[in-house]
Amino acid sequence: MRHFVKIAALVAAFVLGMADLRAQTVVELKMVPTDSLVNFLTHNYGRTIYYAHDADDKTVLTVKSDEKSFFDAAMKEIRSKGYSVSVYDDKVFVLRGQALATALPEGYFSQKSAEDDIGLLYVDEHNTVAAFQNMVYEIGDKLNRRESGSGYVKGHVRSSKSGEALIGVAVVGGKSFAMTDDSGYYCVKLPVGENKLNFSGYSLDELELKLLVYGDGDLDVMMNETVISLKAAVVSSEKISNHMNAQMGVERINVNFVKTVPAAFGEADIIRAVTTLPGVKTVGEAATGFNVRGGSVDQNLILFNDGIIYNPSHMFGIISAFDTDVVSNAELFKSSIPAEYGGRISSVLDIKSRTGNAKKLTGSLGLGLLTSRGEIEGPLGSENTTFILGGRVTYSDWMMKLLPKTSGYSGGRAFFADANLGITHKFSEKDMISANAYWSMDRFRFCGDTTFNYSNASASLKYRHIVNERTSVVLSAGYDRYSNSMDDASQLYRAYNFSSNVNDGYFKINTKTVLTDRHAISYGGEVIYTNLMPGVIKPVNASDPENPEESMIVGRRLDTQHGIQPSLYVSDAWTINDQFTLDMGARLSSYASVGEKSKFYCYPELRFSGRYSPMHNLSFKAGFNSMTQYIHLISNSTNISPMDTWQLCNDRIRPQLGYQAAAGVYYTLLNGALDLSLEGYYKRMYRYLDYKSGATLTMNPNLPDELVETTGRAYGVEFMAKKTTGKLTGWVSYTYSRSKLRDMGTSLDALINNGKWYNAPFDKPHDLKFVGNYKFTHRFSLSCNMDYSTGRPVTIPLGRYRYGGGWRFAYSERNAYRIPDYFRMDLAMIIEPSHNLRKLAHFSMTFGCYNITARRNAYSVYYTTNGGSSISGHMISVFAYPIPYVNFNLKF
Amino acid sequence: MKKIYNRIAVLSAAVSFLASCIYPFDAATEFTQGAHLLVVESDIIVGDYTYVKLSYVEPLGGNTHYDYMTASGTAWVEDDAGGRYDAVGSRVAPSFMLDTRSAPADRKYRLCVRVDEKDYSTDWMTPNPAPDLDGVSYSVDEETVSINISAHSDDGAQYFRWSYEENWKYHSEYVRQYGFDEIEGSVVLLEQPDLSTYWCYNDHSSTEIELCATTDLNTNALVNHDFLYIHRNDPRLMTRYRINVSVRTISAEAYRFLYTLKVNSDFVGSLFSPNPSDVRGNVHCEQDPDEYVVGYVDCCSPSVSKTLYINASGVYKKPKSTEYLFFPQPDEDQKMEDCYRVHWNGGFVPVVHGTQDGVSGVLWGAKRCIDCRISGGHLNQPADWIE
Repeated sequence: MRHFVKIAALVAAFVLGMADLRAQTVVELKMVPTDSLVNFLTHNYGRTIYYAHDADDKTVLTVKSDEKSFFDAAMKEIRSKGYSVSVYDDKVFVLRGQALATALPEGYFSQKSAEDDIGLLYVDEHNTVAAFQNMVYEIGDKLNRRESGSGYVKGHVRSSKSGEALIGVAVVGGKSFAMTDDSGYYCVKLPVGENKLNFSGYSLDELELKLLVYGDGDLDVMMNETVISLKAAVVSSEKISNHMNAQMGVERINVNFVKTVPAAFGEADIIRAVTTLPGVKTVGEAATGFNVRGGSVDQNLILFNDGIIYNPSHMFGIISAFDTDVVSNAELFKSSIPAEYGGRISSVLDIKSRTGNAKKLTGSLGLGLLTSRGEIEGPLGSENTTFILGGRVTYSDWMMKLLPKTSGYSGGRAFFADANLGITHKFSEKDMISANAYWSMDRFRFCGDTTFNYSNASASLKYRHIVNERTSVVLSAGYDRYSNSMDDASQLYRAYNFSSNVNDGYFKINTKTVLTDRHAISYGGEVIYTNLMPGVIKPVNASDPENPEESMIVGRRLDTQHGIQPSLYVSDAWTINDQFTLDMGARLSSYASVGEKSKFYCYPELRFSGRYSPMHNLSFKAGFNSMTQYIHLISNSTNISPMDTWQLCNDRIRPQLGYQAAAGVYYTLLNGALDLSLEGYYKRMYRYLDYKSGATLTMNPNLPDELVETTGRAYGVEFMAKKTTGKLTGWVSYTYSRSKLRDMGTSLDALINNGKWYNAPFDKPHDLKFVGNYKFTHRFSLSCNMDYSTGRPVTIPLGRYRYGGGWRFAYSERNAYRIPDYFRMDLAMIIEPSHNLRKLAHFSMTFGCYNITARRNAYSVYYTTNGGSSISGHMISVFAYPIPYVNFNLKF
Repeated sequence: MKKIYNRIAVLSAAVSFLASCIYPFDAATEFTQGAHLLVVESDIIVGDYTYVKLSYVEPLGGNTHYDYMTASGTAWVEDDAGGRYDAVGSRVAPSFMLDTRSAPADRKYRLCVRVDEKDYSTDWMTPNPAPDLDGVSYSVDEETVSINISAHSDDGAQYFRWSYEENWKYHSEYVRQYGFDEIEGSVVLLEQPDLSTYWCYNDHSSTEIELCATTDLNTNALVNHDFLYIHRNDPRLMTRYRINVSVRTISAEAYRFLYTLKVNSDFVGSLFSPNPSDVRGNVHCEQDPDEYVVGYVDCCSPSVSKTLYINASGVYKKPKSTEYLFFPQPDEDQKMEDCYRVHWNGGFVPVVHGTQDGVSGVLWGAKRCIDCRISGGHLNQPADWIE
């Protein structure tokens, strides 16, 4: 290295000497290392320059300038190579990466004017990671600055702690607005000149950067997770998006929020968190799935890393199948569904997993009443490749052992588990690939002779490429599978195994282009190939050697159904002016069933939503959606059973169609601390399948003969008040909604309720919810969850008669009565880990109580004939007692 | 496949049991009005008597269901050759016994009913063949005795329905050895043990709808098909138990109707229970075709039946004895009269001689310990009972 210094000094001396001799002032240094240049500047310009040389730093620089401005030219060259240059007290600090903070943040002692940039440091944006508010980041080529117009600022937002991409961060700059996608990428268009760019997200310190825009440029941003602030935003990015874009009915759920919501057995549950939102209901506790704005459970598209999840629950709905330790966030679209989504007519729940810590190997362990969890993540070789691996396993057998012998289930077993793996590799700032795999399974045996299994599995590969400042493209492909099976040996001569499964293979391409400062378009398409095996039954011979018995069951397999769903879409977010925004989307959805019952369907779908904001804190929105669904869940129960089978459309089973019109008003007050919203909607659903009386729905080759099409209508208003800052955060919401169905069978059939409208099983008109979190100190907070709703509809017997030797029932019209109203309150105390960042491991604990008022909420009311001998009425309460719980988590 | 529903119903019940609590629910205070629908229960039995019962659906909360029996009406069977088969014997409205013993098996039949000036009739039906009842047997495991049936049809019938009648002989826990002199207030040793209320008989007819299909099997047979499970400490197995099973084949439509009826009654309320289904039968009103009539009348050959006896030996597990009171034999100067009277008035009786900790005395127990009738039985042995 010394040779380099000497050589550089010689070259410089020679050049300077020659300059003197020639009376010229040009100085040139060619291909010199950074430390040589620093030495040269120190010796020749008398400046104190602090630079810590890194032996691995192979940077070489070339500077040519007249002698007078050589120092500035050298500083620029240094910056262009990724160094930050800070000046404090006439001393120069040359650092790699983050610039030296030479002053307290703006407004530290007083509220300074945001426009006052005295003392600010100017940092060239090249290869700079922005993280400080007291700097001005220069975007674009200063030498080729644009005099007017605008420039595109794009980059990635990552966690300063782990380097993980931050999803759903709101990026607001003037009139431009963007949300970071699942790789943390954003792109906004800003006018040339001085700008402010604001970044905000859940549990993140809000960051406002000062930008000097010369043209297009990159700006990667590091954000700090909120550690000690008591002003944690609940969903701060949503607050901003409410007024900045035209989308309605979009709820973004961060997993950190999910962990504060009290849940049964203390298992943090993303599905349960979703059900705390207005417009989302379930048919009761321990229900599989959820109902959105009057839609049925199978009308929700649940995506996990792009894979379709057909059954999102463990233990038949008691907890969800997603491990929150590996989940990053979720978005629920219940009204304005982006055109890139399709295939279900009610809502989309898009869940993303985390990408893993890019800086160091970390992990966590969790211990709860039902499960143990483990998760490990970190870089693989370099920061560019990360992984995350998580797993969860239950020891719920102890619950079975609690059952009394007389119950008949004391010998039962209950087991479930799930696992996640994600690997992400960043080729460059423009190219990234990620692979994800997910698996979950449940196995139950209750009676000793009957075993149930069901399982979800998915694997996906996603490649992201940033084409240029305006365009990014995402390619993804994957496979997912849902399977269930049942072994029944209750009668040995007819012991059998029944199973069914659904398999999807898909390819998607999603492209986003910022056309102008007023138009941002998205376009792409997808192809989903579905292979559905509706049922196979096999004989199972008794294995007892002392009592061998051959099953007489005839093995049968229903025809496998094949379907392919190609679709194309395009949408445009059109910012007409500051006040008006219009999102317009169209999707050409099609489906072809393959095989003997081949049939082709094609439907155009429209997605419109518009925003009018007369004031910065007041917005009016309206929208319209149409959706198509080519797969049906065939069920005869109110709660979806894991043994229910799916059915693809064919020549006799037509697709479901859905339309929704919605409008809303959004108002933010108390200096942004309180958001009020009021949304109303009207929805129609066509060809939702019900079944004829006494229908056989499984292993029935003539299933279409047993099904009837119904029409549905739903309408309602949702009011929500959300407090996003302060010690108390949370929301209260009230929903009035109705959901009704009507049998559209022919007159020859026995129509449900004689063809009149009847209540859908999830029609609960009044729904009042409260979710709150109060932070006592930095580490201790109390969460409360309250839920009141009208009892769900139920069909009950009105009369009785004797038949076949015993009492039988004559039932009311379908869903003509209701179970008692529902009310539940849960409390949880959350003890956050120590904020001492130097500690090797951080321990956190949650303890709480589910249903603390011990209210016996009815899941259902029903009557039994006790084998025909007598009649008695019963009420099932799933969680009839308070369920205290404690959860331990260790993060290292 | 109906069987899968059954299993899901079991699963459903199990999950309910696992995670939930079940509480009584008072129907009468919540729901009141019933629907007055005519109920026609019958199967035309070609070659035997046909029984017809008419009633109305009554409100769920009602107590006097006899009010909803039809007070008047008539019923008869017609065949497609113009034959008519009327009620015979003493007719007790609203039940009828129609003499179809001579009805030829190669004709089509329908049931006709006239009630309240309205005429009802079924569709025309051909008789289902009689099955072969191969046997009624039982198996024993650690906790349960399972009664099973084996039957088949050589005529291609795939739907079987059966009913059963149970009789059992049992006894009270103790043979009475002592009496109580109410005047003296003393315990009296009887000259002979009192066996008059020791042996009893009881009976029960099936109230559940028992049926099974063989459509998924490679043969039209039920093979050791378990249908009744009796816990081994059940009093029915105490001495001698008898079950008489009658089987017949039914049509696919009747099976569907009865299965729906069974699901609506027995598989309801739990987490994954199927929603109740509408049950439409094959009885139509001539004057008002839209009138909803409950009931499916099938046309069958006479049932075949078999009887199974099970003795207690090796089957019955005696449950823990009833709690009793022990009174040591009083000394001559001890006055036990008041103590005895308190227990006598409290429903206890002196039963047998006993010892406790080496002390001799008298065991007192509840009256049911010595009187088998209190458990619901009677003293009369059934006429066809075989010891």
